[in-house]
Amino acid sequence: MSQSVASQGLRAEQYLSPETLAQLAPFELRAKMVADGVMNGMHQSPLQGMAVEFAAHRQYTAGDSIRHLDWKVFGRSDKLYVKEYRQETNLDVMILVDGSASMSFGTLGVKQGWGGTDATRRRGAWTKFDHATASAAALAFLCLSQRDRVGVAVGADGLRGAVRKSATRDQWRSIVRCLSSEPVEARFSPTACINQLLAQASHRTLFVILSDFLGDPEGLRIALARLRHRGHDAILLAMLDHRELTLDLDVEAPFVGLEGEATLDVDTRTIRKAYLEELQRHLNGIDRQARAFGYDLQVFDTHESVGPVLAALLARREGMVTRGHR
Amino acid sequence: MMFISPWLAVAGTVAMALPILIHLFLRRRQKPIEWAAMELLRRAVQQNQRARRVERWVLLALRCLVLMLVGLAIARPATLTAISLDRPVVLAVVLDDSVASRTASAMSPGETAFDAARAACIESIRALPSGSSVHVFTTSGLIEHTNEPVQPERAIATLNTLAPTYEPSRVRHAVVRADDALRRTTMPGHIVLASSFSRGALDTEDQVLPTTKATLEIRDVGSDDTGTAAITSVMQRTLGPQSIDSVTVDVTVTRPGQDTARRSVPVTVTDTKTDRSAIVDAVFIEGSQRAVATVTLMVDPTVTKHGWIATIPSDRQPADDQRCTTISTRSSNSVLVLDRERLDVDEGSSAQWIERALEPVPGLGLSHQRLDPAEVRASSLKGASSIIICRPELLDQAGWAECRSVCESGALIVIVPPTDETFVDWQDPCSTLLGPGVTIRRAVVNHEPPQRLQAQQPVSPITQLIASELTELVAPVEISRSIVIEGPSTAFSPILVMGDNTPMMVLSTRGRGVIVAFATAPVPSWSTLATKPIFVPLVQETIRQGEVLLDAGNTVTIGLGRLPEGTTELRPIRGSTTTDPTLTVDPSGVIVGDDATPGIMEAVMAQGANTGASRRTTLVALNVDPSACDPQRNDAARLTAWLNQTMSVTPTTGTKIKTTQSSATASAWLLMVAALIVLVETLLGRMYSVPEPKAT
Repeated sequence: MSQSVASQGLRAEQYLSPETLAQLAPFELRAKMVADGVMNGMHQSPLQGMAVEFAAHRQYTAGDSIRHLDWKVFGRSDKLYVKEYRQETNLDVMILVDGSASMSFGTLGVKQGWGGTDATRRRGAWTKFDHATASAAALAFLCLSQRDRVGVAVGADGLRGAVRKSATRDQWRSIVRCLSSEPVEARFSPTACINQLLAQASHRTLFVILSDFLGDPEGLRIALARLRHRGHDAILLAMLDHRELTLDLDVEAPFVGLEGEATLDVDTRTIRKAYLEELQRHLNGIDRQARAFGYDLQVFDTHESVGPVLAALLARREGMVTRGHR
Repeated sequence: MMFISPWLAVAGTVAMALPILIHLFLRRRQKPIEWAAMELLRRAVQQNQRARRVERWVLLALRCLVLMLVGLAIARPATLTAISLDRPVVLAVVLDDSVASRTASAMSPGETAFDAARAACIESIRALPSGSSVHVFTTSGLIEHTNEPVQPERAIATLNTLAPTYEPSRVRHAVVRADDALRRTTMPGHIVLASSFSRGALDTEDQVLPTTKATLEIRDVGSDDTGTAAITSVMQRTLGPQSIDSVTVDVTVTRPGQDTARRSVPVTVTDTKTDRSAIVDAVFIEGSQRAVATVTLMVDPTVTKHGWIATIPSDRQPADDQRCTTISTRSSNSVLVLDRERLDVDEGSSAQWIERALEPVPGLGLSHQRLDPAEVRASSLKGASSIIICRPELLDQAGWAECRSVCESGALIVIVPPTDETFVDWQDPCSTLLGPGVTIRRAVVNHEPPQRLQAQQPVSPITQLIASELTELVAPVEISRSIVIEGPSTAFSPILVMGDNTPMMVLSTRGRGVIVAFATAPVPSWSTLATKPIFVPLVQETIRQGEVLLDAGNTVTIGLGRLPEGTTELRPIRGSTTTDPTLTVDPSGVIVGDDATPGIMEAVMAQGANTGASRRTTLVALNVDPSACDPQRNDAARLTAWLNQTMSVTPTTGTKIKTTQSSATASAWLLMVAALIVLVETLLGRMYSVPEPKAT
């Protein structure tokens, strides 16, 4: 965490460029499973009771409470109908950003006027960590603008920095300060990070995990299982560099891992096809795991803008929530 | 297998390492690449890279092989054994010791061409393998060992005793003797001919320079016997046509205490037909004092006075080379007149009138020989430069074929229509000889009144020297009878034209030869041509200018870097023959090798070569003084023709052609293999090509 950078007060503008915000503004951030909140807002609850807004009539079945019978309808038609209401709730969002060493990979040259972290300036490239923090900031800003409680955390082998969930006015500054860090020389352990975050989570929370998910899939599976067990929702945002996705590199050279892996002599022309197959297989495995727990996975190409992918993701989730209501 | 350009083979082999070096260089220069998805990469590598690495090494090997094969192909491999001297041989050394070899050598300052030639011969002898033997011949014919070959050491000793002579060069005879000597041995034989190949170094017997510029030059000045008088200078007098056998020179004598005396001393050139050296002594006698000046006939291009009938040996060209010293006279049979011996008491035959024009005064003019047309065969036409066919109807089919052959090989043919009515079809072969599309009407046209020649005659090389007087000369000529020669303008050009614009004389070419055809016969019943002043200069100019035209077509030169196709230029190997006693000849005929000294040449025409499979003799002509070699006249074709005439077979040609073919074949095979490898590599590359990446 860099206090000096955060104190400059310009990071929010850098992360939340008008372009990004403009693309996100038409969408509402909705969780598939809306947490029960205490704060009225724009998020609708699928749970019945504590009605705030009439939703629809449903024919009475045995076991339904007679408190919700619409007597006026009964008086007019001698039929029993139950009134259903939609309850609007607050949303707790926790954004976990992978700050491991593999996130410092990037091949897109930094353009003038772009936001970024210290890692960006040092490497001269737009890294996966930059993309993750930018996305996280955008999400956080959106949540805050909807009065949702949002917190962020940066983790690797454990949490390296975290901001508790809050919807206060100073929360945004805290979030930016937290995100203004850089990857550390450690591997990402989703289990350890989730365990630490779960220890602080009292309400149902939407966990947004931004990582390249290149580590052990088993660790991720355990972390997701714990989230599911505690009744939380999660969105997995896989941050991958364009070159990682395509291996558009015609070289024969030694490849050095960022997380201490052994050097590997590789001729990219000869193994490109196999690599792409392996990558596809890996991402499919992650996706299967996420779907098994009812979570979403979205792959981000770090050479593409944050906005369109986020917008697509949120639009999809809104559609899912709406269909769930009906 | 040898390589004609061995350094190219080495370069090809070295180039084979190029892909490997590039591979290692690029590999070393590759910086490590940081990568996040190492686990995925590792799994992909485990799947593929081992097999791919093997394939890539195969491709690398193929590429190396392609480079090596291309290099070898360019190096032109050859199984050359043409002039290999790795086993005992019999070497016939022909050393030019003629008077022409006394000239200074441009290659070796301070030495004569003879010294250089002798050094080349000794060098060739020293390069012989053990057990070899040597014949020594000189072009002067003074030294020769034709009975038994001698040991190389003895041959070298013999050569060291030799000195240049004042004899004319008789290279052909020397080579013939050498060839005969080598025929008597069962061992492989080689002839080494060392000469400067200047004009005086090559003789051609019985060939003569047409009357042209020639003069005398004093070569040596002697002194009187007592030493009281010395001839300090000898001046020439203007030569005249009458100076056939003698010339008068002015000799200046200085005696102590007395005034310089000057006398004109007649010098008689004796035996001009056999001894062309024309080394004569100008003897000065005054009282008891006697001085002798040795006079050598020399050619001076600045002198235009006609007088001496001299020749540049081996070509019949105007003498324009200061080094030339040999004087020849025209042989008696250089001009052949084809007619039967007969006495035409009425008006004389065409042959008689033409012979009279050729030699109006006995001993002056162009000597000639009569030959019966029925006896025309190859042997009878040998040596003839001009053939005047006065009785074409008497030539049989073989005779016409021989005339065509001689003409194509470079001879002048003059055709005169027969004067008698004849039923023999001579017009067709005659028109065929003149060229395609030419026809000669069978009917003779009678002109009544007689035709006259046009005052303005066309420009023709035949009449160029008498063009200024031609109008006057043709005026009195009347044509009563003539034949009609028709044909396209490209087939022949008119020399003289009659009043009705029909040609009276036409000029045509065939091969390297020239054909002149008369439309009228030089007899009074046909025309007044023979009786008018035009006839003698017309006949003589026809012969002389026609022969000049024969030579004008030969512009190919040797020793200038550009050889005609099929010609071989050899250069000797100096200094390395003891270790590598072979001459390597590339397909273009040039000796290659780092030790080859440029300039020594042999020109051999591949065309028409008789391979002489039973012969193993080779001939190497060493030009020890390329600068002396006349580039204008000693051209490859001439030298080759001359050598071919000298030797009954062309020994070197067959082996060299074989060498060339083997080299070309091997190169072609190597290139085909290289192309096949490239094809295989392309297919392999396509088979294992990596698809374009797709975003996941």
